[in-house]
Amino acid sequence: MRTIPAVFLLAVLGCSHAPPPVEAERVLTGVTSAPYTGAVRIVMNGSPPGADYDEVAVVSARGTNGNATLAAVLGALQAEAARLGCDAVIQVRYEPGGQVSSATGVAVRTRPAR
Amino acid sequence: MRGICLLLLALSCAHRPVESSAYAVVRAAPSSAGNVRISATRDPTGAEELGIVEAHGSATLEAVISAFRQRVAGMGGDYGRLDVVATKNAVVQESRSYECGSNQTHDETRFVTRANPDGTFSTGTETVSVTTYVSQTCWETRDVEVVTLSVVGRAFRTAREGR
Repeated sequence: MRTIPAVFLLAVLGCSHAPPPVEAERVLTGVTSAPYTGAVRIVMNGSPPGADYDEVAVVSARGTNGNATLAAVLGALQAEAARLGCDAVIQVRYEPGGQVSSATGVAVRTRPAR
Repeated sequence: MRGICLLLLALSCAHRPVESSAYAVVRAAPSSAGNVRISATRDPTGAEELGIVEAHGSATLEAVISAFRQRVAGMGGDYGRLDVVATKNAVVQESRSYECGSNQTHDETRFVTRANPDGTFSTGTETVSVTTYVSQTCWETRDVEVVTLSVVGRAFRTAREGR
């Protein structure tokens, strides 16, 4: 009887392999600041940024297998920008794929309106 | 053996070279030894445009932008303006080898010597089954999705350098 819970536990552990985390990276082109805790705007390439800004970094993210999704990849891009103290990622391009999906953009900090 | 093959495959995937090229739009200038500033959003003010630069590869963002930087410096520039930063997926075939040996059984004839009840010995033969592992290398080809990161932009020489 004890083997049934053990087999069940093994089955759960075996099936609960989380997909690999989305890889994000950046190359700094400006000055970083304290991490931003609000919602980071995503502005797709071709759309106007909507406000004056300071450029901080070029950012990219890559999700594989279960994380090769729009939500996972853009979420990683936002998280990377927030770590750099940015409140928006502009010029965002997304490349969907079956095994790998990726996105690039420019992390910026919006200048306060005067 | 299998582990070594997988390791070699992983290393070959991890180190794809970054390629880059440039097209000068003005007379060639000596290489710049100084720092190359990068911007993905703004052209420098009052700077001379030297040419078009691109870099691409299945590599990290850092590696691709570093190759872009080197090209800008090679044209005599000190400012690289990134006009396009994009990724593109492509499906490529990758081959790998792996151990696929198996146990094989065959009959062997042996000479055996037996003691008889009268104290004498007699020699005869007997057939026995022997199982051995026979090593073999197999190859498989599979489709792998590869991401190529590319940057295209322009090289500038700003007024602050060498003037």
